[in-house]
Amino acid sequence: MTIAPVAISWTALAPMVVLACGGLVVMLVDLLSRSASRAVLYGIGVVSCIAAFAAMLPLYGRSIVTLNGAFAADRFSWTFDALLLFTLALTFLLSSLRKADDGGSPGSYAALLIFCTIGGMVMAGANNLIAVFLGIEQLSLALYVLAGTGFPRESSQEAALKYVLLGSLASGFLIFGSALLYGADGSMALAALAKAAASLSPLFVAGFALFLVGLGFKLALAPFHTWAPDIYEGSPLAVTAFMAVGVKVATFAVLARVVYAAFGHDSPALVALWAIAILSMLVGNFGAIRQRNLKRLMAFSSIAQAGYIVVALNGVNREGLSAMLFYLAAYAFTTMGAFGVMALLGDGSESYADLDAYRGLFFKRPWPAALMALFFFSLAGIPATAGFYGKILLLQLAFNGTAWGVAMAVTLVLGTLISFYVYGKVVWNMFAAVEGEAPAASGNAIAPWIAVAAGALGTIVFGVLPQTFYASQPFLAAAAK
Amino acid sequence: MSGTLTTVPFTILFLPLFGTIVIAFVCPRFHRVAAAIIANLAIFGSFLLTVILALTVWRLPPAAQAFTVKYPPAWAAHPQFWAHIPPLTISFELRIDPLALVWMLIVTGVGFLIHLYSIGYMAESKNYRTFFAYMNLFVFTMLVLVMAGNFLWLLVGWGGVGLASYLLIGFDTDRPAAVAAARKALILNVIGDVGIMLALFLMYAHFGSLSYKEVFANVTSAGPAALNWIGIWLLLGAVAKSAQLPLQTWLPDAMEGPTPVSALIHAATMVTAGVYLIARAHPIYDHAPLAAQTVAIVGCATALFAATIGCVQYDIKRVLAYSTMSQIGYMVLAVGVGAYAAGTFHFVTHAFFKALLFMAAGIVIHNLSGEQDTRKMGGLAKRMPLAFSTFLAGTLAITGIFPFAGFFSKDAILDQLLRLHHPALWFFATLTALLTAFYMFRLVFLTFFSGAYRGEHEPHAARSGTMALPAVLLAVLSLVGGWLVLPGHDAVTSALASTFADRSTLESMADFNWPLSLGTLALAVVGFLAAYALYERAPQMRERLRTTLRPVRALLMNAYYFDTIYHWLFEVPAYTVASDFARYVDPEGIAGVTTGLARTTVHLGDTMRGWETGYLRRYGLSMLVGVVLILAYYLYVAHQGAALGAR
Repeated sequence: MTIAPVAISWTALAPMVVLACGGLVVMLVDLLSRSASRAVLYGIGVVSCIAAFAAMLPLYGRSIVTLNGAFAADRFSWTFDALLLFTLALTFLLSSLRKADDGGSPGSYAALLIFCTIGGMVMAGANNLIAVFLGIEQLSLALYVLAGTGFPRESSQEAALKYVLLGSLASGFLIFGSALLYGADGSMALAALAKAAASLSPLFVAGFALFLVGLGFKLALAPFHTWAPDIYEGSPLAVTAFMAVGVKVATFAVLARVVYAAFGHDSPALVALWAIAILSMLVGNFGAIRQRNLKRLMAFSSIAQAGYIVVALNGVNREGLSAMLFYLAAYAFTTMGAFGVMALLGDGSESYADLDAYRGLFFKRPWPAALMALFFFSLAGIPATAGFYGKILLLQLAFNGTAWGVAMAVTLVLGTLISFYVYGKVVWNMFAAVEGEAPAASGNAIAPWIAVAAGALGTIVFGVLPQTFYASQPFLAAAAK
Repeated sequence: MSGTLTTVPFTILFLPLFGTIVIAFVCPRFHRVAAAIIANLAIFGSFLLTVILALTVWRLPPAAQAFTVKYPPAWAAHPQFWAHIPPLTISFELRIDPLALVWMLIVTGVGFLIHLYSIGYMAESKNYRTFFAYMNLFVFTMLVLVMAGNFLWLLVGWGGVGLASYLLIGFDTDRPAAVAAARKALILNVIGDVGIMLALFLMYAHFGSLSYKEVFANVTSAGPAALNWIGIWLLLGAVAKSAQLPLQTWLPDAMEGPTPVSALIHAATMVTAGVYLIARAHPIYDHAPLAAQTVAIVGCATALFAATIGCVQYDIKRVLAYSTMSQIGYMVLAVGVGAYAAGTFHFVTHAFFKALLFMAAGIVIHNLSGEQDTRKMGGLAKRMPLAFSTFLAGTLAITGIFPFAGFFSKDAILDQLLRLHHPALWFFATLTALLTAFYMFRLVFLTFFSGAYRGEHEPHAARSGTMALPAVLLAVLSLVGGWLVLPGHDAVTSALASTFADRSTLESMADFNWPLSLGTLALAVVGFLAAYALYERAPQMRERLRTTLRPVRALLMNAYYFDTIYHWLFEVPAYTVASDFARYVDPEGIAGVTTGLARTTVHLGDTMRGWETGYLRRYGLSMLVGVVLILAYYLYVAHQGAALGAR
């Protein structure tokens, strides 16, 4: 028996290859020059992101399926990849430059972040179940380690351990689900799911259910969200930011691809997804109410936001993909910006995860406070911010005539109302007058400032001129897939 | 379309906003003079560009004079809209046409002069930078209002000027009266905003669009009843913003703001927004006779109403406020009867002379260290020659003395009223002209003559070039501004023609009705003589009149008791209900419900946090429960699917 050589389109894989080379360079530099500072290593990371983005440019608007149909570099994955690279670059900018925060191995930290993102890019382009699983595992394995890189702190070790244990449970469900899906249609290709989905065979629905559980874990959708607060709180700040944004972007790419491949229209099999979305919106917003730790608050917030984004799949139509991308982009700007302010004030340390530290911040540091308010307004969905228009798009999609759509719309509005309290509390805290001395906030490094500025710019521009982006090629073309 | 015509409007619009941002966010590190310079340069730049744009546009053939500029520009190959929520498409579009250009020229031109004046007037203020940031913000929002290409952006500007006005009236935050006045202005203006919103909803329901172009093109597709309602709701907005009956009570109180604010916002520009709105929406009013009649009657009533009050007030700025109200009444009356060119013309001349009057009054107030009561002035003509001469020029203009501006613009309105067959309205408008002459000259005599100076503190004569220059310039404009319309030559109507091209006729003002004009002039002289007699020659007659007309005087002194009526009609019931609620209902009822809701919410939050025990087994269990539930549901679905397959 001969094995036919697989045709490989290196153009399609170029962005990942370039990024991987960047990761190798980081490791080499770290190995050869033990004195290379964190700034240099993270700088190489940012440059790799830019180089990988440059490698993506020739792919714009093209659609290449390669590796025997396992991987697709199309317009859909292009936009997701761009978002992932943006998130990675900002994560590097947020990363702490102090030894106390990462246990002293910046080289492996930077390399792991890069390989983690490559996993995400594999997920964005995955065209069969094997590739999906590979991508998710690469992303997850790197993240398990990254969650523990703050190991001088006990909570970071705890986070890593919990993440590994619960993550492997979720991976179990995912791979078991994949196996059942394979059993249902005898093919690994996502395109083959449609036939099995049409008949709703028992193997397919069981497989799809377990597959959803696996993805739901990665997205921190309720009731698979329980890990998120502990692990967000324990992980180093920049890693938390990446978890909140990068992981969600990559996993939503997989979810959208699978749903769109399997279902051409609304299906009873998707009802579980809508129920999960509604539960997530409620759990996320209610859970955030009493949080005094900003990282935990962001964890609950990200649970709710993930619930909102699922609404974009309602009706399984083209506008939904554009809306999902728009909301993800808005979410990426806003969340990275908010974490950026935390990193900026605390010099990358955890000292600004506590809500009390923000009391009266505006009177000490008006700019970071004002920008933080902007990000929280956007998360809440106040007009003239990106989050507002994102929610408008989702609400439009929710009203497609089905009862579940209306239920989601109502929950979305309810959740938004509750979130006004959640986010408003933080903003109020920053603008409240303080008796005595306002807490000193010395952090003023340039790198987090860049990240905050990028986040603020995106939040405002997407909020003020939403249609310019929503109707632009990268967003529309992805939906045209 | 040439590049100038697409990029210049956006530059005009955003220069003042840029000024605000620079002053508010960058300037704190600079010297305070920098704030003044930046603010002035921003407005001056806008003004210059507006002049260039206006010259370019008025050189085009009439058909090309009205055009829409959209963002993003056409060459960007993006869809040219801001938001598309089917079936409604909202563009970020600017409508440039002669009507908008007239307002833009006044807003930026007079606005610049007032900015210049503020440099000197506000010199002692400790919030100097804030003041200029707000002023630039006001000009920006006012430009949004007049340049908007659809009703939604108009509403944005409408709300924006309300905000800027609120911030500037309450600028002296340590004076409770100023803060109360600001709040009052905001509340009454928001009533108007709601009116415009209702009009917008109706437009959306009937035309499916909010764009001027589409609404006006399809205006006949809606029935007269709908158009009347739209017209009435728009009028509610206009009435609130332009301080017309019955929402006029905020304007006199708004005089608590610094004098440049009164000159810019509460005389020259913002309060005329109602006139702009009705002129802009003229295709609607042309097909809504009832609404148009209401507009005219409201305008006429306000003109007379405010003029009578002006006759007895003593606060120099309040008299000017009532005169503003009265003059805007003229404009509203004019646009109500369809004399759009005359209304616009009066807006232009009024902007000149009313800004001038406020500036001159401001110089007096400034030199008297904040004194505004004319009973404590008097004999100031010799002590403040500049203030006197400029105030006199403004008075001659507003009373319509030949050849000052008011003579041409006010007579144009009166003339049009007769031509359009509204003799009753004409009668009251002419009566108002008589009263105007009386109360304005009364103010001149009280302030600058009537014996010696009656104040306690010796006036100091602070001279400031930046205050004198704009006043002198405006005095000149108050003289020559009226010459736009001369017998046989009507620059205003021909300039505006393309905006009102959809109307079959736009009455020309070139054909002078000399007997009418001379008659009105004679009435103005009568008003002058009456004021001269009562306040200069025979004070004993004044006393006699006071005693015989005591009830009337009391009525006028209290502005027809509108504030009192509103107090008993709205404030007292609202406060009573609120305090009763607070006392009886709230502790048990509503508080129970709301705190109960809040407590439940928080409790739910606690429960949710309670799940987060940190124990892995708990987390794993939660996942497993989810898995079981989902699998159970899917098995149910599969069962259904099998049933489907079996069938």
